[in-house]
Amino acid sequence: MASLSIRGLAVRYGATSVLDGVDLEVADGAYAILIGPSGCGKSTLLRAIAGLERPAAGTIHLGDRRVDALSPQARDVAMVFQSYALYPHMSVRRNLGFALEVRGLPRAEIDAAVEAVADQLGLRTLLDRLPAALSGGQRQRVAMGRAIVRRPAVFLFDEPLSNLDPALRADVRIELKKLHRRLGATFVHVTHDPVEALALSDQLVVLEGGRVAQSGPPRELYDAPTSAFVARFIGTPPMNLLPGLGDGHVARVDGWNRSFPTPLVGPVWVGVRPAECTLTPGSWGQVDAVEWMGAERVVTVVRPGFPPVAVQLRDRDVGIVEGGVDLSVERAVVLARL
Amino acid sequence: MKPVSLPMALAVHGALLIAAVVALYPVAWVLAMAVSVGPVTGVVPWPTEPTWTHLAGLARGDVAAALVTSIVVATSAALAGLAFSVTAAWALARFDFPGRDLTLAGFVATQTFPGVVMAVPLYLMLDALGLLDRLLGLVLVYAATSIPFSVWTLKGWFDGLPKDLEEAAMLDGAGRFRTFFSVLLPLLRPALAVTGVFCFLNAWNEYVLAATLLSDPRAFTLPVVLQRSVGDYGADWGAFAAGSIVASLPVIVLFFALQKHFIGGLTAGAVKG
Repeated sequence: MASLSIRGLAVRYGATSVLDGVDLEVADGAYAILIGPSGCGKSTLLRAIAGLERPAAGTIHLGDRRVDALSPQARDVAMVFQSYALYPHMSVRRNLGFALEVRGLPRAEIDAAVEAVADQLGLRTLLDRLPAALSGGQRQRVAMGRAIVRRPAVFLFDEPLSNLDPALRADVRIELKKLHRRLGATFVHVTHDPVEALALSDQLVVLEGGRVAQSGPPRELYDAPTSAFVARFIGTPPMNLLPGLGDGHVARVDGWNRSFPTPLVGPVWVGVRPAECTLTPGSWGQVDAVEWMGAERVVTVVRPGFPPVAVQLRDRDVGIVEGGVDLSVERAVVLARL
Repeated sequence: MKPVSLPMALAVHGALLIAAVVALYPVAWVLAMAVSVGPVTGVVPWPTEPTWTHLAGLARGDVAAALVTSIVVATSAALAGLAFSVTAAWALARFDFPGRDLTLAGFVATQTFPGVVMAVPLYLMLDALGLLDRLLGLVLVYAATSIPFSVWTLKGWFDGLPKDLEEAAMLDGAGRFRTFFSVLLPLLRPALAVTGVFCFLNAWNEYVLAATLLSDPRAFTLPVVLQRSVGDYGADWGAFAAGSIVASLPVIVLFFALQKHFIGGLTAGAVKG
């Protein structure tokens, strides 16, 4: 178990810079999630921590050990691959025990460790099967077991849930959370799914263009994003960004009688979470569409000169929503408009 | 699939039948010769005065000895060729180093020359190494000549293996060699079988180099011995035919045993990845 500390990390493929000066601190025992759009460098960052990518600059420390020049074998990290990367010719038992076998542990010790992990993950009856004879969810558990059995300093997960169907994904998400609590180890997990990111992390790291856009507790990123990019990326539906004007003290949005404190001057974004809006009959905008999602309704409101505004309403709260509406907001963040 | 009309089916099967007869006719001739006392005449290859003497005669010294020699040479050449090819293929598939593309292109270039072109240089090289008339020399030559083809085939298979597996093994603590032997080689078993058989047959069927590099009759391989049975002053076609049948048997057996792998192997190596 160890903390993770990354300073000024750069990774380049030829002339292309994939990571460009990443600074990141992950506390011992934290569950950190790296999230960002395709090509933001999140998987590359994970692979650099694992030792599978060679950094062009910067340092990586696990605890007080500097590891960026070490081979993957010497780093004491375990990784669950998106493809699971189970050894197809080895039984589940050998897949789980391979790392211990490589270390030259005695057979009895390997068996005991493998069986303990198999019991934890409900793989006991599958130990003698080959990966080809397992379902997707079972393979996923074997891949996790292979990481657990080694007791590494840091666990790395590369989109571990992306190959599972939605129902199973929710189950495994809970499994992951419980596993993290049980092991008390440092987890670093890459995903592109904002729901997964909010549900699992206690540190959320948003990457943009090879840099850390914002890092902190998920609630902080949700409530107080520091850029329009982070605001749009976290939360579903994404935060509404409405054009407003700042005067150095407050920002106003055209047609709203509320103002929001900000030191910014000139054009700003006023960010409002869809779940933190309410609608009353009025004339600010027109209801354009209503999507019923079961427990909630997402109402799209349009006003000329504004992007469409999504409003999330609990389904039981309101009757028919249509026609002209006024928008009242509980809370907003004011962000620089570049 | 569209149903095929009867005339079309008849035409296709007729054409295939003719092709099969054309291919098998010489083989039938050899079979007939092997069990005939005199020469086989006429259009239909049918034995004249059937006899087992030619086949029984194979047990005599030189053919039996040459058979053993051929088995030893071809097996050793296949194993040596595979050992070099599989490691080279891995390096060419997975590592990026200066000269990599040139090496691959070079391997293809060597395939454009007929084997005979190499006979003289190989003769001089083996002479310099003191390996003329030695089976080791022949094994090295056969192993070396099979390498370009084997490397290309095996590289195709390596390209088709997900890189994740190697990375997973590295993170599990396995070094390059452990990864190679514990993870990659077991997965390449079908490829190794197919490529190994190609190497074996390359050595097994080879005549020109063997005839050039060997002059001691005790070291002759089967193709050389067979050729010598058809001499300047008379030809023992019966013995030649019987020997040819024996020489073909391992090839036929290997092809049938590995038929599935061959078809799968050739396409998988080429298309995967």
